[in-house]
Amino acid sequence: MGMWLFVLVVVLLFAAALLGYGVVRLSPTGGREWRPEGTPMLPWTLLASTAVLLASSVALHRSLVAVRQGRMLACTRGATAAYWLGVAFVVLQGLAWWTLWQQVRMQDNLYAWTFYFLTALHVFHVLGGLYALGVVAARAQAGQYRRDSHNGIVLCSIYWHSLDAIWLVLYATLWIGSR
Amino acid sequence: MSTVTAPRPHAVDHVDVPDNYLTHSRGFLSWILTLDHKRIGVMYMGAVLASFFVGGTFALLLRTELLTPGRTIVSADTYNQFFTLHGAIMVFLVIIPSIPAALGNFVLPIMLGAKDVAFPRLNLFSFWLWLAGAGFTLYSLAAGGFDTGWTFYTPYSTTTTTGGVIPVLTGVFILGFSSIFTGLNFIVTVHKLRPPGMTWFRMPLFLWALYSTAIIQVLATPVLAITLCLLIVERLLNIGIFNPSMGGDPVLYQHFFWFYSHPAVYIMIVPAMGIISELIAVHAHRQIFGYRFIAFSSIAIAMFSFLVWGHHMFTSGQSGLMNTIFSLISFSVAIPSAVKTFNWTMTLYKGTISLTAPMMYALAFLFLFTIGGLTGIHLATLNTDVHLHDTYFVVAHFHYVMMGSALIAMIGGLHHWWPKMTGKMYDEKLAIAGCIIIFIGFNLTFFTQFMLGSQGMPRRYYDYQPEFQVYHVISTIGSYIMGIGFLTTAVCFVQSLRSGAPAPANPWGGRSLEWQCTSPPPHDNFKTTPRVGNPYDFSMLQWNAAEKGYDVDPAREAAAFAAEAQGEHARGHA
Repeated sequence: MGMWLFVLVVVLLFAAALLGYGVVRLSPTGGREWRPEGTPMLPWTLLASTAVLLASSVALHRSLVAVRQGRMLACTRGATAAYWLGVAFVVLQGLAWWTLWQQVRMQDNLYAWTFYFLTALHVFHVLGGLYALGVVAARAQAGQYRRDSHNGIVLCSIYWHSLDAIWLVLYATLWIGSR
Repeated sequence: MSTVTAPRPHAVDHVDVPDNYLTHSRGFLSWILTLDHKRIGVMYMGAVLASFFVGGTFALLLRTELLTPGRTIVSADTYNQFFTLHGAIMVFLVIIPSIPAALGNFVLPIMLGAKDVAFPRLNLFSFWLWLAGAGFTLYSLAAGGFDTGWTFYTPYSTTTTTGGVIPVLTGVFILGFSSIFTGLNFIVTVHKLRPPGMTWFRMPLFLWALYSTAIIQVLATPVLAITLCLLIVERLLNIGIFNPSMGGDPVLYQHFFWFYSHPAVYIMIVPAMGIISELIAVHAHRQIFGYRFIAFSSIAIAMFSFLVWGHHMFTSGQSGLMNTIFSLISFSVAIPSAVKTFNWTMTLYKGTISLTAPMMYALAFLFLFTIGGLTGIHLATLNTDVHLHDTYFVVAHFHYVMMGSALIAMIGGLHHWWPKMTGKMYDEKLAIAGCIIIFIGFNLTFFTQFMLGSQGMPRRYYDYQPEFQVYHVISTIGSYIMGIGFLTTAVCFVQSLRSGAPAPANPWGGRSLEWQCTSPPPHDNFKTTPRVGNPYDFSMLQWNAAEKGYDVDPAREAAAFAAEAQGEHARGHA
């Protein structure tokens, strides 16, 4: 219940940010083209990071299913895999920024700024989730979860899947917006 | 002590110092590192009152400047900084934290029957964050001040040359996190730490109000944080997200800002309404009328609060359709507010009203909130708002709500829980005198501003037409009277701390749990799990002349609990 309130907070935050993006993107003022000539499209790395994040969600879900069936080894493996896939997501996002940063800085235009800002906002929330996921993975390895006592995995999954869903919406918005 | 031969009854008190939260441990560090919600609440209260003094000083300087058209004491630029500082300090440092963080922290766990809030360390951390935020705000003065108005509207806030804008934005950003953590703490405490027997509908209404407030704090404040973050970057790097010439939109800032700041108005008023529910029931010694209506109207206000922000932008070029929708939803806020007001007056009706200082503040609240609320209807009406927008009418309206209601309720609550917090009584007559002086001064100051505004005097102006001067003079005199009133109240409190009579456990005849522990409460609030009953059933209380307070008549208490149990039994079978 409390976790859902927290998810609502995060959703509200990203909804506001995306709404702001929409207002600026569709605003007729200025009369400038959205993506200035010569600015790169969204980096392809994002597709890879999306896949990695989805895989991480799947792994965490498998971990949850496993602990409910009492398969502890599968639970530990799933949580650990989810953690490292999450780390890989952050690394890939960093890579995407690094490639883009060579060609366009955030203060150059609104196209670049909104990209850096929205993805950074998301990565900060992923980092928070990674901390929690790290704790969950460590506790799973230490054998602290049981079939009837695994609240940590449940709460962590709710947040992690929400971030995944938010990322899909965010990526789709940025992709459509860059057209 | 062994040399003492004569009997000295007074010495007994000094030898046997009672163990309470104030005497539990000593020294500066024992306060600044405390995890005790009561001490944190007291520290918040001290910090908030100090900020109130600073903000109030700016208010008096402002009013003095406005005595005459043109220059009176300071230049136009200084004046701009004064009203900005007054607004920013009063909103972010005083009113938002005053009730939830200061009074709420002290009262919530005791009222609930808990030993502390759910996360005591997080609670202390929010207080430190508050100090850091206040520090940044003070630092902004040294860095050149800021003259943007407390709303930081773009494009002015991104182009003004005053150097304190970024520090104050950082300060407010940090204060926002302090507020979020307090809200989070309260939500979890109310959900998880209720003792056996404390069902949702046995919670005193102040807790319902704090709970609704906490939900608004947690949901709305992150949006303010992101907005200020954008504004800081905009100012630093000139990104252009709020700048039309670079493809941005300045009204977007207003939407973001008011998406937080309108709910923030309810962060101020909803807990104030909670306090008033307590004050009126306890000091009228009568079961609160319409408990569930008051409880749910708090939740209703919290929900509506997220749907009305657009009424701040009726003249900002919002589409006609949006204006109409926001106007309609804004009207609907009047319903839960009126539900509360009518329930309070019904509670007073045929009550045994004690005209104590807290009750005087509650009556002042009823009067002022009604004016503040009803003038809100004028402003929510589209066509009148076009005339009244950004005039003194708006200034008067929100002062009636934010100061006349929220702050008056806070001071009333402080009088109510003062004996519990300090263990000392205050001079009732002096406190009532302070209340009456504040009430007169307040109305003199702000009622004239309704007239000024309806005649077209714009807010925030340094200079004005000579025909407005008479109103400005009356308003300024009123503000001085109000200053005297607050001074009287301060003298009353200082006097109480120095030489107040010891407070009994239950000086007013309250039934909520905080009146069941000693004044001041022991370190861990309750030695045993308290017995929870209806917090507004005053029938079992009797005056104890020796103690100068109320105590419980055991026979009537047993009868009341039996009756309640039977009632529940009957309902269970129905």
